[in-house]
This record gives sequence, structure tokens and C-alpha cells, in this order.
Amino acid sequence: MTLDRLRHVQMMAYSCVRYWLGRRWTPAGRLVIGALAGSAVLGFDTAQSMAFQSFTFLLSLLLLAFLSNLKFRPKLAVARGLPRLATAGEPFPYSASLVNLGSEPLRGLSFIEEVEDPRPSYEQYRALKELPGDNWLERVTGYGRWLALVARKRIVAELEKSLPDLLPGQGCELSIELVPSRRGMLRLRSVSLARPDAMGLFNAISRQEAAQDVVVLPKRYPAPRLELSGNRRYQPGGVSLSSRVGDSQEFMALRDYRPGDPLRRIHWKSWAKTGKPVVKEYEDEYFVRHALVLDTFAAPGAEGVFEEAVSVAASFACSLLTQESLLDLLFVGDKAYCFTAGRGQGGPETLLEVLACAEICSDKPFSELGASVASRRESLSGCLCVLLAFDDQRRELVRRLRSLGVPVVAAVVSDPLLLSDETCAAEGLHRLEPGRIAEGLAGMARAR
Amino acid sequence: MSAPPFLLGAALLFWAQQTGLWLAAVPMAAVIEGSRLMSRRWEFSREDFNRVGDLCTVLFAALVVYLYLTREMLRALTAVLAWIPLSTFPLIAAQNLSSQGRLGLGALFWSLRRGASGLVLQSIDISYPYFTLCILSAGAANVRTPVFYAGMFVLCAWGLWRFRPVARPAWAWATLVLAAGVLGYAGQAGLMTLQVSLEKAAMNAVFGGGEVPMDPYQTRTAIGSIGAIQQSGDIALRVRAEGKPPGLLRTASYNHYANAQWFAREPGFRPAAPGTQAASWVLSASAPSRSVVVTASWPKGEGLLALPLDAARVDGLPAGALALNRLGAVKASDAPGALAYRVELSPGAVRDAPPDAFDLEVPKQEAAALRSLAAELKLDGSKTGPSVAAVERFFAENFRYTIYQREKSPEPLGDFLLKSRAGHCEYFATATVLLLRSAGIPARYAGGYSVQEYSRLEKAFVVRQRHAHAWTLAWVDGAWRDVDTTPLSWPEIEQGRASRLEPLSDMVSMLRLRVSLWRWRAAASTGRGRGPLAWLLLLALAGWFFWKASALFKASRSAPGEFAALPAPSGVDSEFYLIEERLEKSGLGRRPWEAPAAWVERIASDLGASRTEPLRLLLSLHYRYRFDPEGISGEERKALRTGSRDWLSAAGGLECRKS
Repeated sequence: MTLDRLRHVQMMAYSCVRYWLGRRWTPAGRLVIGALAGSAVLGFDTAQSMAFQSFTFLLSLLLLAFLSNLKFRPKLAVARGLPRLATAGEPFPYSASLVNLGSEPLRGLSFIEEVEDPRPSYEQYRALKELPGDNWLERVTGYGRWLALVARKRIVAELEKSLPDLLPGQGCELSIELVPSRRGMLRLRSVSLARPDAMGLFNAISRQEAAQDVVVLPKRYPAPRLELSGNRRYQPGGVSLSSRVGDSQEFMALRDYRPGDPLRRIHWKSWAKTGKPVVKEYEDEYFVRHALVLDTFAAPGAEGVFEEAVSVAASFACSLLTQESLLDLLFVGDKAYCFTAGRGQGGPETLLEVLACAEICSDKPFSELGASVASRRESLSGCLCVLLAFDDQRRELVRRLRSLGVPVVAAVVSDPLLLSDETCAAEGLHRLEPGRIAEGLAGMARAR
Repeated sequence: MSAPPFLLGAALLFWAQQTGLWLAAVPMAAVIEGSRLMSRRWEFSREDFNRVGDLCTVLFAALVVYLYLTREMLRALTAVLAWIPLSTFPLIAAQNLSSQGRLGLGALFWSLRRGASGLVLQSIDISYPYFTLCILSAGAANVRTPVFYAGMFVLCAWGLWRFRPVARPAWAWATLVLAAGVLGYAGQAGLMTLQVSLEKAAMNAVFGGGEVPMDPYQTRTAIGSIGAIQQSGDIALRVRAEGKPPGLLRTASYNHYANAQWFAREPGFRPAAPGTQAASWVLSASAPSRSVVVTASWPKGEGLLALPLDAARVDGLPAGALALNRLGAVKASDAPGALAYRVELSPGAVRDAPPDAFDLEVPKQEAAALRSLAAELKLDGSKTGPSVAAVERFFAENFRYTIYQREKSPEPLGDFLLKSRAGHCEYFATATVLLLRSAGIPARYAGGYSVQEYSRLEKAFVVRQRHAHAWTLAWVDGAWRDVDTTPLSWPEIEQGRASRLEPLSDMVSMLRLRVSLWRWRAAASTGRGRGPLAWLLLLALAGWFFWKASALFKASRSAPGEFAALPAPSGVDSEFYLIEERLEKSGLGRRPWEAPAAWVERIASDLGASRTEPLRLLLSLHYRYRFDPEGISGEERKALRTGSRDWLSAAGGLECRKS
């Protein structure tokens, strides 16, 4: 058994005990348990100390609290009114209605939302190495890593709310507000009702199955409206995508000029009227299609950077998508994915939902992403790459796309120490510093 | 959650009632409860709380050193536990007197002072943990009266009342707490009984009897037990003698046998007379002829002295009291944990009382067999010398030594005498006593050690636990005499059971004894345990404490100096401030929220163009002097200075104009 396996087993056991203590025992109960442990040590020899008397008394308290609170089977109907989507960092309110279906009044109960177990698997635990901020105890026991992984998996903190007294047949509606700390699928498994014993030491728990999911979208920043190339490309088999605008003789609308628009499409009268170039749009199979490329190949320990990159991609997904163009979200997970939105193919929320569940790819080479983008080069008008670093592989991807004639805007989420200003200037990159993404995005708008 | 008013004060007084530390507890309770009446609070930073935590650690360490050096190990340990509320008091005082009312976890755990986990930033209220500590420490004082349980119950109930769920009836709470009180009281009695029986069972399982008598009133033998008797090779005593050492060192003797146990009937302890010298005790009036030195460890500070039959005086034994009973057992109390006492021997010394009716009692169960055997051996109570010799011969010729008994017998002693004729020393000693008594010769059962192994390492005879021995005291020709009928092969058989690691454990044992002896001698030389070691350790601790304290003091004192040493903000000596001051006096002062440039523009009409223009130039220089990271050149600085002075000298008219 490796040391990491031992640590994982130890942490699993520790979290079980901690969960049991936290869920089944009230703060007073936990205090009594702590005192019981202390008296057991001090009173081990009944001839040397009177602490054994404290031990028997405290043990009796706990036993009676447990035994007196065994029978607890409330009949309750529980229903939640959950939103389908939420956003990381933004509180989302919902309501839970409860009706007492039993013949006994229910008093002094607490309502607890049971969420998915946030404990990491052994593979996840082993994959994470020591964290730089860990102290010696956290390094030896592996507790720092454990806490970091739990924090990564836990989307919302535990919620406990007091219920009003419910007479038979009476119902109540609870207003609840959860704040998701991160994106992902928030799985609310069940609802627990806790009732403390008469001494307030032990909680009897009754669990009501009420599994529901909420997609927590990534955190988004105010992203600049980038003026990517407006070149229209032929979209083979794109009839279904060309319901609105294209190059046919069917005039559809007027819109602002974008670099790359043919001069013959300029609507001179409108330019004269508005003072800025305006072009005509026609329905056809030629239209603007952009790619939003998300780098999912995060190095171990760079999970925070990856989360920022996802937020950047989400921010751009909202700002880039217009009614006139298509946006392909490209990334590699367990395989290379391409999700398209725009022109009746779904709005930004579709892409955000996809981004909510994007995970780090650690078992595939980076070249898969390059191949996926390159295979679509013919149909792409422009490409926005959100990268996690700028090493040789990524440099090669950007250069290759540019050499293929695809205009590329590359945003690299990186620390200034790892990516210098000179490199950014030379390669035409935009550096976004983790923790200062909003500033970086604002700077990106100014630079363009 | 914080504790209800007066709960902590009451807990501290209860702690004082149990430990007797009223002088400490009363002011502590006053500080804790008094803080409720006081509105003033101090703003402690996280680092300040950490320092208070460090102070508690130092106090605790000092307490451990002090108690270790002034008390026996076991007593020191319990005292440390009993004094914990004292050493942790600064924490609860700091919490109650702080504006936060809570402690950072870093004050309690060093590992949580730095790190990535969120625990580093968490804080807790330690009122209830401190309350718990007071109760547990009160228990460690081990005052064995019902007051502890009653006080603990009342205080715990008081503390728990606050956690009572409002939705549940008070009577249910009271019923459960009372039931827990009753159940707990019954449980503690049961726990005590359980421990006693477990200890008994463990002793039986490990030793199976055959141990050295440490109780002058009774001793349990392994007679009738099956299996091998177990004894360890740990060194119990060291004996240094001029010439041949005494073969047997007795700790106690007994006169009544029943159910495989020997008892001392009417032992009648009396205090031993102190000798003319300090730490000297007289056991017999006979003049001593030679002496032996016995070294022993008594962790509890009391024990039975291992003495030869002819011991007349004991020197170098700084015990609080020495008592001896009429069966020759000598008990010392309030003695050092390790000591080397000199035993003066005299051939005619008498410390055992003459025989009485108890010394002739024979259990009815064995009486018939013993009488027939006595007749067979032709034992005669009037001819004690030959009779004893006959008994010795009988056992030497017909019996063998074994530590293993295969079968359980309802009459183990009869079986030993008539059938198996094999056993360990307790069989031989008991059988000899009873056989001699059957013949009318008074005899007693003696327990102690056999001195048989010389250690080159220690240059002394070492007596191990497995050398524990039993023999007979027989009244021969008007005097008590040691009669050891156990076959001479027993030392060899016992030696065969020695562990191969025994030399190593002997060395460790010797080192421990020497350290212990040195400590106790040092303690004895300076009185009340404050020996050189105590002073050395306490001085080292105090030095460390002052070093840390002075570092902290320096740090806190140097803090303002550090700020002073920082480069002064540039431009604070700008002469523009003089202009600002002058204008303020003239009623054209800058408003607090107003930027200087805006101010100058506002008052431009009052000043007139001739004064405003140079002021604008000066302001521009002042701005650069004040805020430009690159500063201004020497010439520009000069221009600011002279320009400001010129402007001020010309400002006299301004005042006239305003007035």
C-alpha cells in the first residue's frame, strides 16, 4: 500500500467521522463527545483520577440522547422549485415547499439540503501533488490536498434552515438561497430533516429523496466585443444554418461593416446617412463562422488557471455570438468536441452549459486540439483561442492557423512571470493574469 | 457559543475546591466574570492571540518542569493535568477581554498559523472548551468524595441548559439529565469494580501468583494454579556487601494460610525508632557487626524494605515514616523514588515477635496428611533442630523443582506432598511451614528475594523479579531461623528462562537508576526537590522566555521606529504649504475635499491675475515635487522655494485687500 493510498484511506475515514459528527450531533453533542474523550484519557485508571466519573456521566448523557431520539419518521411531502441554470458566484434563490402528511405535529425541525459527495477518488487524490501553501502537517497528512480537492468538487456549502412548526396537514414554503462557488452540475440528492433530542445533543435524521440537478454556468466577466474578421465562407451543407443571412439575392438586412466584408456590399446611402460604413446582407450558404478554441490541457496544479480560462471562454461565448454568425466551441475532453451556436442553432446559454461541464484533459495529446481546429479551417472566418500557456505546441497551433489564413486572436491565461510582455508583443498574444481577468479583458479591448 | 454568565467562574471555583488552588482560582474567576461588567475591550490581532498561545505553552512547560522536579512521576503527571486551567488561563482571559470575543485557531495549534486551508482564518469561542477543561482538571485532583460527582453534575447541567431545544419541553430535558446523572453514578461504581476485577485477572494471567509480597497483610500464591508461573528479568534490587551477601532478603512474613493465600493475622504495626543520625532507623537493639547496601526504586514513594533476618538498623533512608509489624515486615512511606539504604546486620538481632498460637495453625483440609507425614518423618516439637534438619533432608531427597503444574487438583498441597512431589518455592515453603507446625514447631511463611546473581557491570549483586522467593521461618532453639527447603536447582532453572536481551535491558535499567538516584540525591541536598537540575532547567526556561519576550518587546518598540526610518513622503517640505496656510488665514482656505488645482481656480478671482499666474506655476512645481516619482531637478526645487517666498512677501497686500 503506497503512502498516498494510506493517506486517502485515512482522509476518507476522517471525513466519514467528521460528517457523522457534524450531521448526527449538535455543537453541544460534539462538545460532550470531546469531553468524553478527554475524561476517558484522564480517567483511564479509576484509582488515580476522578475523571472516570465524568466519563460515565457524559457517556450516559450521550446514550440517553441517542436512545430518546431513535423514533423519528415524519411524513412529509417535499418539493423544490429550482431554476434550471445558475451562475458560479451568483446567488440563486429557490423555494422548497413542505407539507406535513402525518398525524403528529412537527416541531423544532431543521431542513438540510443533501448534495453530492464531494470527496475525491483515490485517482484524483493521487494525481494532485503537494500544494505550495501547505504547512508541514498538511504535507505529511495530505490534508491540504484533500481540502483543495473537496473545495474543487463542492459546488455549494451545506445548507441548514430551521423549519416552522408544522401541524398535521399544514404546509410551509421555505425561501432558500444558494451561492455556487464554482461551475458544474449541482446535484441536489435529497432533503434531510433533523430533529434534536430534548437535551439538544443528538440529531435524529429522516431523509426524503428529492434528486434534482442545476447546471451552474461558469463565472463570466464583461468581455469586449471583438471585431473578428467578417469574411463569409462557404458552408457546405449549411442550408439549415442559412435561414437568415447569406449571399443570395434575397436581401435580408443592413448591418455595420466588419473588416473583410466585400466592398460591393457596402450600402453607400446608409453610410452617408449614418456616417459609418454599413453593408447589405443576403440569404445564402455563405456566412461568418468563428471558432472559440478552449485549451483544456492544464498541467497538474494549474486547475485554477483552467477555471479562469473556462470563465474567459464563457465570457467570449456571450459577447462573440451575434445573430448573423455561427460560433463553434472547440475543445478536447474524452474526445474532440465541437458545439455550434448561432443562426438558430441555439444561443449562448447552450455553449455556457457545455462549458459548465468542460473538464481538464490529461490523457490525450495537445495535437488533437490542433487537428480539430485545422480540419475546420475552410469554414472558419476567424478564431479566438483561449490558451492556458504558450509553449511550443501552442505556438505551433497559433502559427499554423495564421499560416492557413485564419485570423487568430489568442488570449493566454498566464502569470506574467511565465509569459513576458515581449513574447506577447512578438506573437500577438493577449495575456490575462489569473485573479485579474476582468482587467486583462478590458485591456484587450483597448489594445484592439 | 459563549458560556452563560457565571458558569466559568463557578467552574473555576469548583476546580479550586477540588485542587485546593484557591489563590489562583479566585482571581482567575474574578477576571473572567469581571470582564462582563467592564465595557473596555482590547483590539488583539491574530498575531497577538498567537503570542498569548505561546505564553500558555511556556507556562505549561514551566509547570511540567517544576512539577516533575518537585514530585514523583505519577504525582507530577496528575498535578500537571490538575493545573491545566492555570496554564491556559491567558487564552480565555485574552478572549474575554478582546473586542472580537473569539480566538483564531492559530493560537491553539501551531500548524494552523500558516497554510492554505481555510482553517487558518477560522476562529472559535473557547468558553465551553475551557469549562470542560476545568471540570476534567478538577477530576485529576482525585479528591475521592461525592462532592466531585455532585459538583460536576450541577455544572454540566447548567452548561447544557443553554443548548436545550426551545421546541422540546423543559421537563423532558430535566428528566433526561437527571436520568443521566443517576445512570452515570451507577456506572462509575461499576467501572471501579470492573477495573479492580480486570486488574486481578490480568495479574493472575501474567504472574499467576509467585510475586514478591508487597502487601504486609496478605499474599496470594500460585498454589493450585496450572501452567507455568511467569516472572520477568527486570532488576528489582541491587545489593552490595562486604564479603558474602545475605542469601535471603525478606519483605514480609505471614502466619495464616487459607485457600492458597497467606495472611498476616494481627500484624500490629508500630513505628520504628529513629536512630541517632539523620535518616537512620533502629529495628533491633543488638550491636551491628557488618552491613549491606540495598538499592531500590519505589515509584510511589513507599514500599516494604527487603531485609535480611538479622537486620538491626537501617541507615540512609530519608523516609517520612518507618513502621514494622510483629511479623518482621518493615514499611517505609513518604520516601524518595529511588534510594540506596545501608542495612546493619547483627547475628542476635530480633525484630520478629516470638511465636504465638497462630504460628501453629494447620488448615483442617491438610491436617490429616500432614500429621501422618510428620509422624513418618519422626518430627518432634521438643527437638526442633533435628526435626528441621529432617524436613530439609526429606525435601532435598524426594522432591524436585518445577515451575509448571500440569493438572488442577482439589488438594494441591496434599498432591504436592504425596503424589507429584514437584513444585515451585511457594509449594515448598507452604508445605514446610505446615509440616513443621504439624510437628508442633512454630513456623511462618516468608516472602522476598533470593540473592544469587553477581553483575560485573554493576559490581554488585542484582536481584531480579524472577528471583522472588518464598521460604520458611522456623522457631529453632528459641530464635527464628530461615529454612529454605526449595531444591538447590531452582536458580539454574530460573536462569534458563532469562531473555537474550537481558544484558541490554540491564544496562538501560542501570542508567535509569543512576539518573534517578542523582536526581533524588540532588533533591535531598537542597530540600523540597529544588535541586541543581531544577534550577538549571528553570533558568534555561526563563532565559528562553526572556529572550523571546525581549524579541517581541524589541519588535513592538521598533515598529514606530521602522516607520520613522522609512523615507519621508517626498514633497512634504514644499513651501507651497506655507502659501496654503497664509491663504487660509486670509479666509481663502482650501476645503477639505477640494483638490489644490480646483481650489486655485476657485479663488483666482479673489487673488487677481497677477497673483494667480505665479501661483499656478508654483502649484505645478509643487505637484511634481510632491507626486512625480522622478521628482524635480535642483533648479526647479530652488524655483519652488524662492517663488513661494516671493509670493508670500507679496501677499501682504492680499490681507489688506481681504480686510
